[in-house]
Amino acid sequence: MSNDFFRLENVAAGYGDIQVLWDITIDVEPNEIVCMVGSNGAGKSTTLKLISGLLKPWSGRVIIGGEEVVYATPDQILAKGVGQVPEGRRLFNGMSVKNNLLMGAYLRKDKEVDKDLEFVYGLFPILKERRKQDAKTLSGGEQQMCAIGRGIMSRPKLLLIDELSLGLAPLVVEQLTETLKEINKTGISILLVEQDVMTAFELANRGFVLESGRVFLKGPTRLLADNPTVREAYMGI
Amino acid sequence: MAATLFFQVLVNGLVLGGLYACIAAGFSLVWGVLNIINILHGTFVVIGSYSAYYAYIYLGVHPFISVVLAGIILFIIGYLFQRGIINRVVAAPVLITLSLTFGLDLFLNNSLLVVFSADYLKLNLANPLGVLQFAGIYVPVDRLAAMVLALFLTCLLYWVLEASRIGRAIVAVRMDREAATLMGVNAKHIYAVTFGLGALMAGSAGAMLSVIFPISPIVSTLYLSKAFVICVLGGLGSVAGAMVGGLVLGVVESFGGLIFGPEHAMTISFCLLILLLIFRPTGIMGKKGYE
Repeated sequence: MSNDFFRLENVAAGYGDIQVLWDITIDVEPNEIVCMVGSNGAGKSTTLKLISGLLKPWSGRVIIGGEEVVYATPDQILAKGVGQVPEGRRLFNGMSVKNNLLMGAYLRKDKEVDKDLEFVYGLFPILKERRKQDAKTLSGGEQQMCAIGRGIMSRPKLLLIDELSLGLAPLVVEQLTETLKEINKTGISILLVEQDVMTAFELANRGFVLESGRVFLKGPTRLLADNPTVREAYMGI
Repeated sequence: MAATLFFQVLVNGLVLGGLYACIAAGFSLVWGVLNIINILHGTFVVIGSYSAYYAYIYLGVHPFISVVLAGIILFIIGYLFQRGIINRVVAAPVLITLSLTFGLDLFLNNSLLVVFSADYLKLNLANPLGVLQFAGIYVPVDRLAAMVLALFLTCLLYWVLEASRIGRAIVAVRMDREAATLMGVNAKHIYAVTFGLGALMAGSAGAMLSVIFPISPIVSTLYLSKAFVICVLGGLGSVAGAMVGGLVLGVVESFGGLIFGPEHAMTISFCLLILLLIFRPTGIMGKKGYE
């Protein structure tokens, strides 16, 4: 494997003395949508924490944009072009929708922030309508839109999305899925972390199945969807 | 009570209240965002007063101009205190941070006593702006100008928090530190900036107070306790609350002083505090959380 756009290579990590991840190797190619699925406690969120710099790997390598990243802080990771939509949205309550979106562009010094704000409003017109409202007054789906908007306001090359569908109605998830495809077409790669395997496989072309902190299966999602183990364990078929 | 007297006392109270609001806004910001009860705040005010006093005596700079100077000096002091010392325990329970700022205050305040002594200094302006008279009410223009400046600064702080990049980061860190970190915010820096801004407000208020009140390190506890009362009065952690609380306290003290005698001003503010804690613990503005 020699994809240098984004790659985790034989990474191990954990909290304190507790090891959570063993020998994780995952990659994302430019303009690709990749998903990472697995049950609760499989190590998905830990993997994301590791990528975003909130957690340091014990061993292995993290490669972003052709460079090995060693002990980078979250702001350095973001500056390298990896943005995140955290699990549970984590919007800033008490701040307006617009200010939440602008927080995504916190590190940017260029003059095109307003242009990107309009781009987000174009993707999610409801956010424009509600731009002055407190973010906590939004519905679940609108909050997820705001979180995704905030994520792309940093102009990432790769967007990490943690639990897109969590607590949302199927129709809303469907809508968001379509928008993510649109976002992907503008040249942003997506690494989607999902418990809902159906949604993940519909959106992504490649997938990694995590179990007990290890990559258990990987490959094109159409093949994974036919895999008997996956079907039984995650799709309930 | 004669109408003229009533309005005279009201105006006195509002003028005082404007300055109180400026002191309390910084205290409230630090409490609301960092969850730190900053015992150093009163001493920061006093340092601001001394800066203005000596800038006037030695450099001939008018205190209203050295408001900026005092603000900058105190911002730097505040930033360094937070970045170097308080950040180490910022996530600890409030008692720990309280003890720390209490200890730092003992150190800083006693240093001031050594350097400046406890003797009261009075800044007498060579060219006071005179007294404004309107319908039998007298207002010294210097005091009025200090109040307007103080309220302007308080509004400026509100604007900074509401509409600037750094202000958004301050509110974001308060709401969700980890999510803010994921947006690229360096929380330690933002904490220090917040503490610096709180000190800046204290220092600026101190500079303005130098034209009104005598200056000595020992008045620091007076300012601190007023900031405390105002924060509870107006509702914790909001600039608007500090503004309202400050003006209310100024007016209450002014009328209380008239009725019970000026020596009871502190008693009155603390009675007010106790009543408020019993009947409306969220403060006049009645909102929780920072805005």
